[in-house]
Amino acid sequence: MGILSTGILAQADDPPWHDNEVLDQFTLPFGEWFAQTVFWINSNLDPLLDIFRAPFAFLMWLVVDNRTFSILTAPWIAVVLFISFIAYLSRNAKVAVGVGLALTLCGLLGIDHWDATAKTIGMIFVAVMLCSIIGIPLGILSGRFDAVWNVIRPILDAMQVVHSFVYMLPVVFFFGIGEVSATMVTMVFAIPPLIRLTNLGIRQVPEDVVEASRAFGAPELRVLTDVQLPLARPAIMTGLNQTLLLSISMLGIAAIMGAGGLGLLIFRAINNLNTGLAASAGLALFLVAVVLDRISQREGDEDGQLLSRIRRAWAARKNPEVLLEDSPGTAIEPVRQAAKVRLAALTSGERTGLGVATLGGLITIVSLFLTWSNDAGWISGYSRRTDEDLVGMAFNGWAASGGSWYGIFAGGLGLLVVVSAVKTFLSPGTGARFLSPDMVAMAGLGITIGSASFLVSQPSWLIETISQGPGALVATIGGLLAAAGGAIATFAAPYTPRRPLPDKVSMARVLGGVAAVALVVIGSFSGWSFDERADVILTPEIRAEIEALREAAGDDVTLQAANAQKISNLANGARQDDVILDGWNDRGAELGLPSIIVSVLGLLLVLPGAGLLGRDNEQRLWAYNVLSAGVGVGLVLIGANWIATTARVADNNWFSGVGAFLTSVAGVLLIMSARATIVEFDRRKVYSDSDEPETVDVTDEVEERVLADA
Amino acid sequence: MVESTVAHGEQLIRLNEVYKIFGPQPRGRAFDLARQGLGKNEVQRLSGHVMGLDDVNFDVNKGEIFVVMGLSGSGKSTAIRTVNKLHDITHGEVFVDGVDVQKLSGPDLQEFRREKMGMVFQHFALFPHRNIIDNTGYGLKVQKMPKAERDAASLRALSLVGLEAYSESMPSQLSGGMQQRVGLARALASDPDILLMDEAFSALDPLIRRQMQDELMDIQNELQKTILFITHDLNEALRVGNRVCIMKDGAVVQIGTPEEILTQPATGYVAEFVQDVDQGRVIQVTEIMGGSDPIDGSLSLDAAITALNGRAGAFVVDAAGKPTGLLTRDDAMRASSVGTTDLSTAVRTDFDVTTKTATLNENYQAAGRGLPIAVIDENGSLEGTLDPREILEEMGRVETLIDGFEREVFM
Repeated sequence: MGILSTGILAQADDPPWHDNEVLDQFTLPFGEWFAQTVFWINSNLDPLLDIFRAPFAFLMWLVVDNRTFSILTAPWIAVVLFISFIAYLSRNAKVAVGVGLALTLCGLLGIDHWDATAKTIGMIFVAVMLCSIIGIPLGILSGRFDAVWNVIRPILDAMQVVHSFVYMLPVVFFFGIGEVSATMVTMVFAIPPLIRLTNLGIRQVPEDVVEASRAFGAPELRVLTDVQLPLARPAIMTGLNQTLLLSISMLGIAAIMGAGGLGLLIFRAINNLNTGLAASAGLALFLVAVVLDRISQREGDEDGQLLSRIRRAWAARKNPEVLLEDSPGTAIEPVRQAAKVRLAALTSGERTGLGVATLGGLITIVSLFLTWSNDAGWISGYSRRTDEDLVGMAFNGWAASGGSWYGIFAGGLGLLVVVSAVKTFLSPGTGARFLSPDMVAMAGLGITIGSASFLVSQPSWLIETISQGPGALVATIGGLLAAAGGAIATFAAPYTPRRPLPDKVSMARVLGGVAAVALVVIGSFSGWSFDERADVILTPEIRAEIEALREAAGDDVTLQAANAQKISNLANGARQDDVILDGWNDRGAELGLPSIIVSVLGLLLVLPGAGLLGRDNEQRLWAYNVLSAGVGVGLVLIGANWIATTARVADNNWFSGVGAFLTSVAGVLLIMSARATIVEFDRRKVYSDSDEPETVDVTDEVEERVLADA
Repeated sequence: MVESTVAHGEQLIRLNEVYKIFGPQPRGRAFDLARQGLGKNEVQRLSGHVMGLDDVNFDVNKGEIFVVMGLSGSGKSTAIRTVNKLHDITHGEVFVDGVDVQKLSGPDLQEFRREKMGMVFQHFALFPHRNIIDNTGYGLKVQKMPKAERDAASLRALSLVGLEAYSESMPSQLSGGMQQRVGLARALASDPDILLMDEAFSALDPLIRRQMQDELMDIQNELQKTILFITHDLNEALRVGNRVCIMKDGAVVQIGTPEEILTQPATGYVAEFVQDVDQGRVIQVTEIMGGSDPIDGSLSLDAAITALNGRAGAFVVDAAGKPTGLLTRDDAMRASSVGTTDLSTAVRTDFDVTTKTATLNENYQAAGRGLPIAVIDENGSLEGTLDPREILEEMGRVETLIDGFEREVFM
């Protein structure tokens, strides 16, 4: 109103027409009009808005919000397995395993993180489902009828050009804050690529194939389902993937609009300047994004990491057609022309090595049933006050106060050793590549180093009566046998590289080894545990002093109050020092030095593995890489065992430290630097002209069938 | 030059005054211009519309291979698509088995397509996501035939083209020639009366193409379908066609048997095409065969020389009219000069024999000997003689014919 009145009642001393002030007098009240419209719709068209809201609210209720069975109330393992299963159906077993691990990791970040993760997945699922329910049919109509496309195209352009902040407010005004509004805004942003790519996919089906369908009398619906949709499938799948990636990138705005999930965690972390929460929620969000992206990717479209893919999705959101240009299309693999190939038989060295290793693996498994610690938890004593009360009890390999994850990891690897060795005995070289002599050696080294770290660790100083049982020692001996057997088998196994190996020293690997040592050294000076429990910080002297103050107060209320002040002063004074226990600390497990020794051993094995000591003997090169990777597995376990075992039973205010994490990362570095060489090696193939006995037939099925047909 | 459009009993397909104009307003000014008899280029210049078919009339008789031949843009593919209404036409009528196809729509049209015709495409147009047997049985599946029955029919069709062993393969696993055989089997699987073949062999390399043409003709001998065959290759048209229709700029230029096309090209355009054709492969002996006027084998040598009457040579026949030998003037004179009176001593018996329907190419080698060739009927009786010089002359004739036209097309 005010704008109108100034415009109409213009004074005589009007500014000249070219003055900027003129603009103020003739302002178009566009914002007012819009606000009035929104207000009118909101007050008069409530039933209509309810109709719009219903499907969103219903799906959200079905997937996320209902109390009886939703992604939030279901057991976490069921959710993880279900999503892994979907990944298996849509992609393959490898992706399914990765998806399962990533989601488990999200859960391990804490229960609030798991709830947020589940909610995020549910919200994205609802958004993508609604997008496909609306977008795919619209895309199909656009692809088949030019008239529809001519109408839809400018709308899509507008949806993509207008910033989401603009339509965010009216949507909130109409539908309130919360997930429903957030999903709508996400849809407006994420649906255009799906419609565009579906349209394009329908249109790029070769005209003659469509004509063929029609020429044989197919009704139009069949033309669509028999020909157009199957051939447009890669484009539609790309569209769905784009929609998903854009939905993920909208989670932040969704959080602003009051939707929960990981976006909200991050939003809250930013508001509270909580770096820790931002990092962990960010990690969970990243993992969710990777999981959803991998599930919805097209087969064979694995190039490029997630971030670059989201960037591409952003860059291409106006013209997503460019994403199809390097598409693998619908080409079907040609018939493979495989020759009859047999694999080299077991050598005698391999037999010996595998036999020894099997024995070692079995010993390791048996060691789980022995006592790992007496009277209290050898490792868990650091993180748990209650371990003080366990005097007189003995704990086996998998008990929380016994070997815990030290035992569980060792037992798992022992099983892997046995399975790999037996499998190699029975049919060398067939089936899964990883069930092979090199895996025996790596797992054996892992057991040895992991169990030895239990053996050499110092017990918690908090607990006086504590002793180790024979379990860890037996496991270490079993691991040594398995490692030695695996090494013998590896040096004797007839493995050859698939391609010629590079004939120069790999400086990258040497650097990887050096970096691993450096990381472990840094890790040893970093915290292995952060102990912030008040009663742990108090030394026995201070505790005695506090006890004395309590007794002195007796029943005297005023003295009690005065002494309580003194007690809290004492406790606060103690809190200042020595909360962080590093890898060298005599009140920590002192795993720093052993880790450094192991990593140096790893470096010494990396050097010949990288080709520094000659590259003529490929077999040796391979074996050294296997051994250095095995040491890497050991390093990973030193860190992971510590983190997992202490986390399993930890009191509040006790956290495992970043030093252990860095040690694990160093192990991963060692494994990665050796991995490329290890996977190059396969069991030697023997072609039919040589007549080695005891061979396995590997014949291509298709070849056989073609021969049979002929 | 255009055949009569009057229907007679055997006609299965008839196009009557068919016009097809592409563009936003096909029935507007463009159609008026076309009706006034303006050509494709004129219509396009004046109205911006592309004329696909310009007053096309032809009939296809039951059981024949009718070839429509033309360069790209001549409207041949448009013409074949009007027959199963993949294209609507702007004006005219298209009858198939007495039904006006262009008036059909919806389920009627689909049923008509299912039952009356199969189609083969230039680039095979197989469904890449279905295996060979499902591709072949697609027409039957659309007809809702049960799977077992459908697979049996598909295998029968595949065995016609020799591909039953590949029934489980995917299209991309087969070579081009094999894919097109599958395309042919797919069209044959539902046993339609009519086959529409749109440049079916054009994407294949020459050797395979020839092989496929032979196979098509074998299948045609066996099944006696009515085939409407589109091609841009005149050699192919003349080889497989019973009758050939040549199109240019949407209009029909000439319709006739391969011999008529070769020997009586209607315009310079056709003649220019014909120039590149291997004449000898198409023209039959009957076109240039001379009269026989044989010599009775029972005559004496002198009487035979008299009967020869200055000719370079003539065939000697027995009482049944079968040729027993060839008497040339030189041989007769030589025998006569040594005083023989017995005709048989002067007659050579190593003469060449051919039939009326053989092509000139088949007699080319025999012509090289320079001696007349005997043309016999199915009973072995002498029907005529073939002068070797005539063969060579005929093969060079069309070139001179072209010079007679004013090259109106290409100038």
